[in-house]
Amino acid sequence: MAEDINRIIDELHIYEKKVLKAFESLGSKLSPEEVMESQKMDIKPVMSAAGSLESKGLIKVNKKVDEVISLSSVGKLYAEEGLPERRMLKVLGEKEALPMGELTKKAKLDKSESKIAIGWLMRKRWAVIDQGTVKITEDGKNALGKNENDEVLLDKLLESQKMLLFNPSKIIQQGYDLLVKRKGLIDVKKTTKHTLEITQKGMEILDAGIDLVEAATQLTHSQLKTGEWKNLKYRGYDVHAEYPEFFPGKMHPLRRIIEEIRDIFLNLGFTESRGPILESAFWNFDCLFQPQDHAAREMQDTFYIKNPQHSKLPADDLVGRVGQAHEDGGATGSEGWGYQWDKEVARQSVLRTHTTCVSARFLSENKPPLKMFSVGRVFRRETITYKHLPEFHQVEGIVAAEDINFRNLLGILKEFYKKLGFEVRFRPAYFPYTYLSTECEIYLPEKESWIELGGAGMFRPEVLEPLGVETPVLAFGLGIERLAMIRLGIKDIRMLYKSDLGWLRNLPVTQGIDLED
Amino acid sequence: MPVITFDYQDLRDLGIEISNEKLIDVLPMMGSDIDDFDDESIKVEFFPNRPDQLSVEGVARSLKGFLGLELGMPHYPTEDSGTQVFVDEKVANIRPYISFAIIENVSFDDKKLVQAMEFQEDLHWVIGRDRKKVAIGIHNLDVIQGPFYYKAVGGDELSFTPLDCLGEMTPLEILQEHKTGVKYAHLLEKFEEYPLIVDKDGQVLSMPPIINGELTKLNEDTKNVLVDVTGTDQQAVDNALHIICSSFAETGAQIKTLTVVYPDREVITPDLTPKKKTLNVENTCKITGLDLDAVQIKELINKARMDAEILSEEKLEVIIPAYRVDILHEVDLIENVATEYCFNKIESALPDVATIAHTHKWYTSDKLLREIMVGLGFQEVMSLMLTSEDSHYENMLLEEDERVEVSQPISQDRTMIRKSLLNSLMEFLEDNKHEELPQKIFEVGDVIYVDETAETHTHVVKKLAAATTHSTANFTEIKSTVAALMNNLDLEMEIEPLDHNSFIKGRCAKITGVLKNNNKAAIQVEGFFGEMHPEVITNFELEYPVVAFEIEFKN
Repeated sequence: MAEDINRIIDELHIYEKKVLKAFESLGSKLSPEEVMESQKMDIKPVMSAAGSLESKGLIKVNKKVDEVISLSSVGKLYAEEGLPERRMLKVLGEKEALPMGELTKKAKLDKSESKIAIGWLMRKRWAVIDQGTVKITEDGKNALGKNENDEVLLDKLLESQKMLLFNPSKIIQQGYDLLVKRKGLIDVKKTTKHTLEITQKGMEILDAGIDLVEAATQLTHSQLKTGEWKNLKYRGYDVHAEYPEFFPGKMHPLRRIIEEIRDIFLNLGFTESRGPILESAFWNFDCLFQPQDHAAREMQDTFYIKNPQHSKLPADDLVGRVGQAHEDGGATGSEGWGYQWDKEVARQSVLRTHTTCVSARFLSENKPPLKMFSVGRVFRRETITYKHLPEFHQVEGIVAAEDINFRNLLGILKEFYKKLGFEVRFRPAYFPYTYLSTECEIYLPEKESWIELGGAGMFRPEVLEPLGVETPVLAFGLGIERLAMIRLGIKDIRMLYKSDLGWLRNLPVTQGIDLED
Repeated sequence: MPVITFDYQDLRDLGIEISNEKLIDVLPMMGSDIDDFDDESIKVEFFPNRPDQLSVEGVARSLKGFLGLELGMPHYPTEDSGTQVFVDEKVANIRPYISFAIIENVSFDDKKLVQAMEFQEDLHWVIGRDRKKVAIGIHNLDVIQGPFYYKAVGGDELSFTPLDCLGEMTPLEILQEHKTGVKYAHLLEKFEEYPLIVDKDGQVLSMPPIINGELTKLNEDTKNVLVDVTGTDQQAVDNALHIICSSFAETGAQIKTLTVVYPDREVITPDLTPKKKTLNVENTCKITGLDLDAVQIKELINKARMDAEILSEEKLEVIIPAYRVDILHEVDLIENVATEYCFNKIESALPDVATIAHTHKWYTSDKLLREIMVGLGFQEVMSLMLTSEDSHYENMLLEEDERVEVSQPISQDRTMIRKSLLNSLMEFLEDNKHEELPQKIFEVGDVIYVDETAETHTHVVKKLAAATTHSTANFTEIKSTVAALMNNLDLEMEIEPLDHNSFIKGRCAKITGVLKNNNKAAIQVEGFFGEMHPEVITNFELEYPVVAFEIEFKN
């Protein structure tokens, strides 16, 4: 307990100490003014010290709110000359009934006052209007020569100028209620009175003794330079005090996963490549043996380009071999698709629908043995929903070498997903440009289900022969966003691109990453 | 992808006894995707290369092989019906190819009628490219009589009652008024005469590829059907016919052929003669990584419902039924061997290919830029490359210029490919108005410029943009940021005043960065920075000053 008291004393700011000290001589309940005077302090330090002392439970701050009312200039005028409706009532007292215009004139009111006056005449039931004529009522007649409560209050205020609204009489309260309904007749001033009251705990602190030696707050350059720090006492801080929040600059979480994926393939000996994002249909479809009337090539699914509409085609012999493969298989050993291939269709520009075109270009320029990967954006004509975006990232990879086979394809994919912490399985699938096509699914223990993440297979001879590749090539293209969503625990894919800054700021960098050895 | 729905009972009716759970395990390993299932029925997607599996009969046939219940190629004998079909020369320019089959001894009930219709529609989609390439009609044979005629008629030359209609309509009326007619009218819009199939008495069976006649509508009492397939590609037409015939034959129906008489030739359809392909044992083993001999390969081929003859230890001849339209190459047979072996029994192995990896410099530099910006306290954001003129130009107070425009945008706010990253950063700030200030964000990303000299008539440019917003964001702050960046990229920074509409006049500067200590002094980066124009800020509904920079990298 003693230790606790010492620690509290240690953490007291000089202002807090001074305020506490005031209770020593002046008693257990003080107004801030009394503290100011006795401790020679300004009101601000007194109040802020009082606040922090209260939060430490050393004093109690009691608040009392007073309302003081007084007349505004209009209010004063009405108090002297009578409320507009009273002035009309007086006229009506003589004439019983008058047309509205005449009544206004006779009561010497202007147009806006007249409106108010008529309104209140009705409200107070002093008169009724009948076809533009104002007639006095029985209530009105009774009210003649008798002040209403609002008028009583007006008179009082005119006399006393100010009035504390504390436990008012029924008459005053009703008068007040009526007057505040009108705009700008009375001014209401609220004043808060504070009383500081020392608590039991505060008394204990006082009893333990507080010295008023000023404790230093900030360690300064000059204190260090002059050695002044040796003579100073540094006030202890409340370690639980509030603090401003900092937000570090960070990599985007999707980018972090892309970087991790790049690292994995680089570690596996894959060379990184990139290719055009806006691509000719030739590289995106035709050289991947996707027939020109294939459903995936339709406007429905693929973004075609209005400007610039076309791309240049590569060398004639490559174009010729690709066209031949489509038509009758050419030298590929295939039957082909059996239709007339159109060069013009191949010239159309598209936003690439997969990164497989990067692989095709790479194969046309490099000789096996090789391992290549590429991460990039791809585009599909999907409306933006929580499930789909029109653009997303894929990682594409190929291995081309004399003695590789399907088992190696499974091996690489298994290794890749293992490094990301997932179990993978394979089932047969279909893509126009591969055989032994397979879809990879990873297992989600929390959902007890498998989700599909990408496609893979061996490139078909109809793809390889025109590109001049003579070895088998295994290939895969895997979606990244869905992987990221699992990692980051989000259900809405839009979060990745239309991100909530609060989410980015508060997402731990370790999210979904296993750091155990 | 086409989806088919059937009941577990349908498979039992076709002779497959299998528990529901086992079926759900097995189907994906045959190459399908289970969409949904309950206690009674199952919804499965098959890949578009296997239209023969778009009927429950086709699924059952494959499944029997996969489970080892029935092996080898199914034999569906055909008989000549003696019926002829005469093709008028006028259809040659409209829809030149037609094939027919008669199928006897079929039986329909409510459910089977629905399944038959769905099968037909799936084939229209997968093989027929939505009826453009191939359209199918299945008719009640017992109400019509051959010979049949495939001819072209004028738009109001005659009238008939189209399927599910009460009154007669002319071909032109059908194209203009009938729901299906309007939907597919584009397939005939280039022509003045329209194809029709009629019987010996001139009764209309069908107006391909639009609609059948009400006359030949199938019902529960239909016992014998006539199938017509028309199209623009002979092979696709025959593929569709073979798949339909084989599917009906699987239920025990009898297939009969017709003679199609063209002006210049006669063709007997359907021709279900299997095709043959050689399968090399060494190729199979080499590419699958499995150690198989000719006998084992033959067994697997049989499970795939094909026959195989072992020619030698090294070679087999595979006999492929007509409905297998997916086998284009030996590699497709190898794929069938591996599928029947079962993918999940194939052990994985890492390739023994030694290569040295290289990173691509483009991404190395991305990474360095990110390091500096993060160090300066900026949060990385990523935005879509698809944007709109409104956001990219109008809100930024910029004049439209040449850009990549997509031809059928998904929405009004995704019409073009970005050339700048700044408007997306502004959109990000707009979305995050409620978050605490200061906000400091950046993006490193690719943009696309139109470039007539390039192969794709475009080239990709790397850009870096950053924006800061808080109550006292100012020119000096963003200048310090840019200077820190340039310095850390080892670039000599040159600054001059710039009038840029997105920025307050007199508070924007152009920057160029030139490699320090380099005599060639080639410009490495170019860009601008400054205080955003209040109109830009309010266009994005922001309420605090924004300062920003954007630079582009010259490759």
